[in-house]
Amino acid sequence: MSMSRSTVRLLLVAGAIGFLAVPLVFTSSFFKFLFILVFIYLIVSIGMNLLIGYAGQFSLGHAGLMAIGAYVSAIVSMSLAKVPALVFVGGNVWIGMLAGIVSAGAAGAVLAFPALRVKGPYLAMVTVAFGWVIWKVLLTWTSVTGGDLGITAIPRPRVAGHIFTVTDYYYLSGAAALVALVLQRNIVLSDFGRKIRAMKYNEMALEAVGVSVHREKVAVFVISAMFAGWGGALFAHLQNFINPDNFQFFNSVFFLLTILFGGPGTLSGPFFGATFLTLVPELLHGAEQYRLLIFSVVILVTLFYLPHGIAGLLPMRIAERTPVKEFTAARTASTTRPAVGAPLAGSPAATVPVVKVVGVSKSFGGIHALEGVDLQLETGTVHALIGPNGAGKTTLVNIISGLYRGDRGTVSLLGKEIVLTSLHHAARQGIARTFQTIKLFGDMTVREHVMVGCELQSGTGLLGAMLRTKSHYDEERRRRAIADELLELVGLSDLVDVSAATLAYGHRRLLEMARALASRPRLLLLDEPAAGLVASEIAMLAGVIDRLRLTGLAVLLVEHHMDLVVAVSDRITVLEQGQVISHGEVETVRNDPRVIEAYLGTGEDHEFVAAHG
Amino acid sequence: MSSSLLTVDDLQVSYGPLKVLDGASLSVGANEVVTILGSNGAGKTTLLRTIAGLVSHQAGHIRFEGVDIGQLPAHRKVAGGLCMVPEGRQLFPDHTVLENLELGAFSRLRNGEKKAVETDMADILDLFPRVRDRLAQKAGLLSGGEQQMVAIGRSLLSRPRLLMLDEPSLGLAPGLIRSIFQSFLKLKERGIAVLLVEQMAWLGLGICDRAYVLESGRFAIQGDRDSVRTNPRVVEAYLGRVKSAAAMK
Repeated sequence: MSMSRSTVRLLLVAGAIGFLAVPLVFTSSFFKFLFILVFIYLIVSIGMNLLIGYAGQFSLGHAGLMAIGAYVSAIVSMSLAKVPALVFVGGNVWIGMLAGIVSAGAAGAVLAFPALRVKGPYLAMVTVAFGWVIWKVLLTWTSVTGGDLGITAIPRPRVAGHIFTVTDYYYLSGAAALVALVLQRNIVLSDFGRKIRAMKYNEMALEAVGVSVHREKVAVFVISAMFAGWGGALFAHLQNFINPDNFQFFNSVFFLLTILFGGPGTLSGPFFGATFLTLVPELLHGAEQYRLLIFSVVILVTLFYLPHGIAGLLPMRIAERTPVKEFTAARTASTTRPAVGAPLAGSPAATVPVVKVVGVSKSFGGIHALEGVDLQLETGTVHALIGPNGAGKTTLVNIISGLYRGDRGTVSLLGKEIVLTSLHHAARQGIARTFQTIKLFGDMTVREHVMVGCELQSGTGLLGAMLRTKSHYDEERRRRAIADELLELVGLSDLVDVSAATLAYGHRRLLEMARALASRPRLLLLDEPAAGLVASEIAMLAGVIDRLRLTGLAVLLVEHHMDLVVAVSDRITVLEQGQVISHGEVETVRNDPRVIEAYLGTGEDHEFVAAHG
Repeated sequence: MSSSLLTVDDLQVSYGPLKVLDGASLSVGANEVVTILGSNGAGKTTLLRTIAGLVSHQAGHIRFEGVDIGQLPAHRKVAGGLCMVPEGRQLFPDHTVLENLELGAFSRLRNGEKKAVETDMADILDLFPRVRDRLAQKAGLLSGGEQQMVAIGRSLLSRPRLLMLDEPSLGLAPGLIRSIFQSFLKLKERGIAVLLVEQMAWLGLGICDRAYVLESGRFAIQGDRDSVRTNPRVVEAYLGRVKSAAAMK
């Protein structure tokens, strides 16, 4: 159901002609003004879309950020107006706009750093308060902002003596909006874009591949704030005057509405939202007092009937397309390193255990989940951890992977004691894991999941992605090749482009494993990897684990399928009620009467079946 | 099978362009335990969800006790005696075990069957004695096996004629799996038919009367237990034991 390429090209040409023709058709400056407003709101909406639609964060304070962009740009360009040489080339305005964008970004960082520690409604409240504070400051700091009268006589931009007319400004802001759309696409279809999309679905899984989720949240908030500041700066120099009324709470709601209406998390959503919601109320000119009513009806209808907004009606959901064209050569591109091999974070000496746990205890409200547990995980060794449900196996995995901290005891990494502070900290130390309750990134594709997992294998950064540098493409190609290799290893080659949401249960497990391997760990913690797999898939999994062992990886395998445990393990540790009741070689543990009593039960499973046959 | 409890005819289910079930037909007789095997992605869970009314089908018929129930919503099916225990248990973690169990009898309690529900509750606690000691605890604090028992118990309280189970062994220790599967055999004695999806094929084949193997949306193999258990394709794909280089050393 995708539009053919020629249709797309036709639409683009029509759009370009329409864009150029507007000033010729609509000679009245009212309409030009209106279209300029569409462009400005589009830029701010794109920032909102990245934040809300893609990253799943929230803000109702973007009018405040826009105000910062507008006021800083106005004030800076007016102060620089005292430098005649600068004024002649128009430098004061351009510098002012740049200062506006940067200041909005800086304010965004100051707001985001503490605010993004909270979630959902709390985050919304914090941003509402922020918008409110900015509005109040603009009203009361009269010496700088002019109070409720605002700032007047803001200069129009100029180039070499030519002052921008409204038509010039139309083309300027139209070009800016176009650049913003391209930047949005480049950000979304990049490593950073994958991370923020993943964040929306599962922060914990993203942490587990070594991403500091808080840092990425702050980053996307700052980018979003810069788009708001950009729109604000363009707004100030369009109007020639600004006052606090331009940047009220309602304006923040308006930008949220453009996203919900246009289609959150789609590349074209902001365009539809900003265009419709700017033009429609303005064209109902005599109905100013009904504006709010119209907005309310629109938001209600949209939320009820169009959960994906206007963009959801399109035959081609642009946002869901992966840039296939860019990567046609990917399969043949060689990676500098094989996907599975020596761990990324240096090779440990063979004699030192990768991770050594000594005397670890952990209680949850009086229940002792672990009591004085010792465990030693060595390179090139598969160590199984078995025990009844509720014995503390997952708690131990959570401690080794940095999710919990033990109440007592120590964890050593390569012979050095270490305090693992978070999942991403542990991941950066070379400890990767899968989860007992599978944690995937919604409807992102199978390949994208593993590409997100490549976080620690390098990256070109956001700037490279926005400008689409050669190294960005090289990096994407490399990650893609790594992902494909790992997916082949776990047997998901046929499903690379499938949305993970449609995967069967067992395949989700395998995908989690491939994602964990993408971080090139030195220790892999597998929490029940075979649950939900059929026998043939378990046999394949055993083969994969064997191969991982040969590459020198240490594996901790929490598993109930004794077939698998016996087939692949070098050593077994048995937990019961938080304590190690047996550990050692496979055969020793298997025949340990305590293990049989506590866990395996008497008699082989097949005998059980035969007895009831 | 004249006294067929559930009959599914030529079921077609697609998710968008993706065809999941392509003409699947099966039947479950009263008092029968039927197991469905199939690899991941074959459509087993979709089949159960379609029968339960949680997924809509594009074509085909679902008859329960001779009545076409294809268009009934899920809650009406439960009231009619067709109940499903979903994969991953899905209890309400912050409610007590007793509250979770009572939810299963929701429509019966509404119809004033309080006495009968109490009798059944006692019955179920006899079936799963471990649950009895945990009635006042929050369900989220139970171990995986105990949660599975509560989930099955909850379904039994709706007094089903047919119980559908999606991977009841998932994430359970071997000892627990055994006691849960033993409980299925007891269900049969009580006149409840069981339709079971189970990845650990030897377990599913161990307790069933008949079995079906689902491959690419339709049943490729079917028959009584012994014929399926000895079918060479089944042995190779589903009953193989794990062997690897490591096991030989």
